[in-house]
Amino acid sequence: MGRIRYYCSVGSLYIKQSLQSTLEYPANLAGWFISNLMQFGIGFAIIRFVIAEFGALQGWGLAELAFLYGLSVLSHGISVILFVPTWYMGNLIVDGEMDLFLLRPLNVLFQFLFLDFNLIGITDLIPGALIFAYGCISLHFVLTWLNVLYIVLAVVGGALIRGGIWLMLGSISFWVKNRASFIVLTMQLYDKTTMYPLSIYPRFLQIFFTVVIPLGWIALYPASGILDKTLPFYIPVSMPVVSMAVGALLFLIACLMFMRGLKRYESAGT
Amino acid sequence: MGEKESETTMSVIEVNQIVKEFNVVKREKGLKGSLKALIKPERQTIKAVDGISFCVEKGEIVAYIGPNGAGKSTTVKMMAGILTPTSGEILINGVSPHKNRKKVVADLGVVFGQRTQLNWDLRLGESFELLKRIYQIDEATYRANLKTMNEILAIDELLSTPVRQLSLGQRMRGDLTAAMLHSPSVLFLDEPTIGLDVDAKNAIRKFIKDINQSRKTTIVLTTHDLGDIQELCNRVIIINHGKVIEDGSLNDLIEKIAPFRHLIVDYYADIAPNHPKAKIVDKADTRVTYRFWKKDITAARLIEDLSKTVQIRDVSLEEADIEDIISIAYKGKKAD
Repeated sequence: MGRIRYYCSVGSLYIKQSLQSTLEYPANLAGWFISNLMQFGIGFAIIRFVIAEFGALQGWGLAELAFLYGLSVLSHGISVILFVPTWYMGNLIVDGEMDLFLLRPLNVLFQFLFLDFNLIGITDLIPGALIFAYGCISLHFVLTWLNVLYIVLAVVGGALIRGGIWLMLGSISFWVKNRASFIVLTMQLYDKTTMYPLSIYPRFLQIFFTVVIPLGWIALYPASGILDKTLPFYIPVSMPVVSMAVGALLFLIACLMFMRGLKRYESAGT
Repeated sequence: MGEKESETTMSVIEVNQIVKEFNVVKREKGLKGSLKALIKPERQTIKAVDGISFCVEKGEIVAYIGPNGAGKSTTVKMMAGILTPTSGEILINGVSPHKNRKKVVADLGVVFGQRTQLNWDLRLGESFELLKRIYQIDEATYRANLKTMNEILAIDELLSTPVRQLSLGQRMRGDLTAAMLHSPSVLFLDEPTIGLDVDAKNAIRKFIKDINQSRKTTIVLTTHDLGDIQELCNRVIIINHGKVIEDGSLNDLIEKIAPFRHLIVDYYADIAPNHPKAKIVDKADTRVTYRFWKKDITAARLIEDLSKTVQIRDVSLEEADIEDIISIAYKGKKAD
């Protein structure tokens, strides 16, 4: 109990100081805000265009796709706030910057994850919330307590899946001792698999993104569950709960992989 | 191990036969070499540290020196729990840093001259606030330590400056303060004076002396600055190629490598009288340099003997040059 309180107290100060750091550079924050507003605005415009041109995709109309895309961008925003250090993990490992974490009497993974609580993720959350709200309003979606809980589970689960995959890929640097840049690849994959129903892709890709790399659980399956869409499989638990469970499990495995990798950490020359 | 026993017999730092091997891909030069390393990597094992042992007692200041690539930083990183030895054992206050890292580092201060633990974006004081919480330093101790650091390093004037605006010397004052806030009993300083100007260097040296005297802090210092060693360290450990090649006081080292001194005598005439217990090593016009061994004859006696035969205008006595001695020591074991 004392340990949990200790980690909460240290964690909250890390977060406070990260926020201060971000606010030191307001121009950067403004730049990201404009850029993200444009990026997700264009994403939404493409969805509108596709629906207007070709009609509903496998039973998903504009309102449903806005709901799906909004949910996806919201989980993206949370993952950007929480897991941005995983993006430059390879550099931290190769340049020996993990030394500093090892010199402090605190869990190394904890220090790594709290290194950079990234307020800039809010600039993703805002367009995400706008698109999601558009979807909800068009669908006359009722925000009951249960629905709010489902949405929270889906967003957190989705963020954990995104972050878990980043943490796993980043941890590979412990073994290969090289800077691997996977961020562009994963961003593309995350985007392309959460914008439309997976059923537009060939069957083997659908299975691959459900079982092997569980990207379908980021937004598609929880959104399908909440909106009562038919799914290609049957699980007797509500989809957002499964999504949260998949996220938690994936992230746990990623943490274990980090801890294993850390044992191989070799610092840098001087 | 009983507590009582450990207090009486235990050294603060015990390093026992440690070895550290790294697996590296052999790289040849040029694009061709890079391609070869990519397609058919040739791995080789490098022993950065090859069976090093030493003990450090409470309150010692030890200079841990050696040429670049000798294995200094690797040893320090193993002692600080950053790297795990391939074999051998390290105990800091009786605890192994790689088996119980958190316990060891809670009582350890580490400063790397080439790196900072301060938050670049925030004011210096805010980095200290974070450390206060991480090390669970109570308010009274925190205040007292900051006050001490202010007396030695005038840290107060820097507290509200963002770290990115500090000069290298100011930043080093900040890093040393950061390392002392939790009152560690052991301090590892890896090249703390690198790149600093004379004043900043003196401030750092004064800090090391004061902390060592007032708190009996055990300090291991790696440096390339021989002034640091001369001014601070009662003991020097020299390593090269991952092995300890000398371990003793600076005076013993001088005695061992260069147990002689030079007497330079300026005569009125162009002559060079011999002395049975001194050897002429240089002669330029009226200036003659004699080399003599302390155990054979004193400087006073030699001057007296020489002045009996010829009239002397001036004399000066030259101690062995510390740089030369260290350089000889580095090379000493290279041959074998």
